[in-house]
Amino acid sequence: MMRQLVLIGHRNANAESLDAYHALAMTAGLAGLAPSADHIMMALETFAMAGLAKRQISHLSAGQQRRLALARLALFTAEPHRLWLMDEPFNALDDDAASTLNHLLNHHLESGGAAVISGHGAMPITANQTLHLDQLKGQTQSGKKEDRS
Amino acid sequence: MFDYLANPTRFRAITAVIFPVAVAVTVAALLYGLYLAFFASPADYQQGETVRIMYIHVPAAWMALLAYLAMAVAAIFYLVWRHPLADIGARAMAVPGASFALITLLTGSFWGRPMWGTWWVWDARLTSMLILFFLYLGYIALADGFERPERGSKPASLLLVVGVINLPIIKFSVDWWNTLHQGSSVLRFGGPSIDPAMLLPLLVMALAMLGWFICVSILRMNTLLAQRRLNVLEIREQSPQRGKV
Amino acid sequence: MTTILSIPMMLFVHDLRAACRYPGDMLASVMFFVMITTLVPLGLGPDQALLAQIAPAIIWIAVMLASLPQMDRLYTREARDGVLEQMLVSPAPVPLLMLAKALAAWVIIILPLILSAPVLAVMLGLSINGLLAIVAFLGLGGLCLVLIGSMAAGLTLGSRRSGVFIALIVLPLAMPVLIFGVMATTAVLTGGDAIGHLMLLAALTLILLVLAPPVSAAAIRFAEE
Repeated sequence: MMRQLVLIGHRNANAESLDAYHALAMTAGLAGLAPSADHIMMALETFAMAGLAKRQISHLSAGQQRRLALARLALFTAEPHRLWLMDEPFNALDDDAASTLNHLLNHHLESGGAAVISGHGAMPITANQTLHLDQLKGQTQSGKKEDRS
Repeated sequence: MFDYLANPTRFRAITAVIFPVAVAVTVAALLYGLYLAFFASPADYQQGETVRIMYIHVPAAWMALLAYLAMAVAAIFYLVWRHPLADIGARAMAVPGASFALITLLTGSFWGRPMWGTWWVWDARLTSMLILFFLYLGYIALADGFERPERGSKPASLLLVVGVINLPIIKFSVDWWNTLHQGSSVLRFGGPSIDPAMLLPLLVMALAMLGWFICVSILRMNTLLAQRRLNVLEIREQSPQRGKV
Repeated sequence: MTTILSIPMMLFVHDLRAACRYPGDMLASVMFFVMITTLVPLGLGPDQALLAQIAPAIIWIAVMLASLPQMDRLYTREARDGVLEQMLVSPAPVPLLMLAKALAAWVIIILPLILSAPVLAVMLGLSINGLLAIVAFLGLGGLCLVLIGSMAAGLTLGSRRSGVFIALIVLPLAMPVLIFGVMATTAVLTGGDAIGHLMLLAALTLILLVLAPPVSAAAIRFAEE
């Protein structure tokens, strides 16, 4: 049985020696995808990174690097069976990026996917099926998304 | 059974019984062995009195190898079953084991000096023991080579497993290298088979060294257990709101 | 969805491309190799017979010294930027990924050395006879060294010490490689039993091919825990 995960960890996993386009292609490749050039550009566009496709990773700001890491998620729309593991994905995101992330997350869940997200405090998640592990004693809502604070 | 032994308190209770016995055996064997070695056994027809250093050199070599194998077994227990006492055991046995290797090298050097006039000779056995000594040093350096004290346990255990697998290869390659370059082994004692009068002191000294090794390992294990306990208590003290760690 | 082998292949190609971005690294090891093999004759004097006799040893020691310190950095970039973590959750078996990195290291570090070896062999007074065989031996031995280095790099990942430390760990494991390699090379030159020594080297290579990738994978996992 092969692992079927998408990991957005604390570190961005953008290969230092590459430019944004190739770094995204690489992490997609490691996860078992072989996205076309159009597909990669589309994923970059999702987080407004298309114009920075040829920029070296070391020349990107911290926020841009984070958005590049999240852009990976747009490549997995055809694979809802994967489990998304995300470590504080909404941290330091501007409103646009946060809503894009939310949108991608909803799409994943509605396609039957599941996600485990860790974070502090309230997160702007609008999916209607969430299970908050820190609130288990009180109210529970059945669902597939777990939120550990 | 191993779960039973894994509890540190129980471990301390068991070793409290074993330790005095081991000390007694060690002292008795050491006294008897030294007496046999230096007084009651014959001198070698070729090497004269200097052969007596063999009674320290050979058992030390056996112990150096035995200790490494014991450490490797402990490492396997640690990697497969995550037994914390297994890791403590391997770490505890490392320094005594390394000192046996060092003693073997030093006594080998002293033994060789009267015979060949040099302090070191690239004999196959001495060379293998030197490599074993490096393997010990590597383990010790790796186990303690990280910021977090216990971070090194797993890599070091894995290194032990790799080392023990490579040990036959290393031994073979050194023997091979030696026979093609030098001819027959140089450190021979008493001819092709060991004179029975020399065997008894060897075995008694080996028992004494085994006893010493067990005593020291137990002492070190208890020390390491206490050290770990201390670390936990220090962490707890620094963050009181954490509660139970 | 890609096949199991395609991910390690992608990693292999990626490592090669990354190395091409910094060709100075490849040249550095060759320069170091050349330096060692020219310093020894300078130190010993130009006695051709003596040089020819010890040339195999010089070449092998030089290959070890020129390659092993570089293995230290095999995983540091990936550990720093988080790609190592991604490797651990990849669908591909992690040992295969480790093997891919080791093979890339062979191409980057060992291959340039092997290609320089014939020139140096001639400088050291070795005949052209069996040069091909010597290059083959260096290739095999180099693979052993790279595999040993990858294990050591994984085990020492994140440690406080460096440099001498990794040498301490690598030395006992690399010794058989040196012994078999020098003996094989000498056998070729003196017309001795080269095939026998080749078999020994090949056996060692096989053992390491089976042992090193899983050990490296486990070591990486320990480091990222």
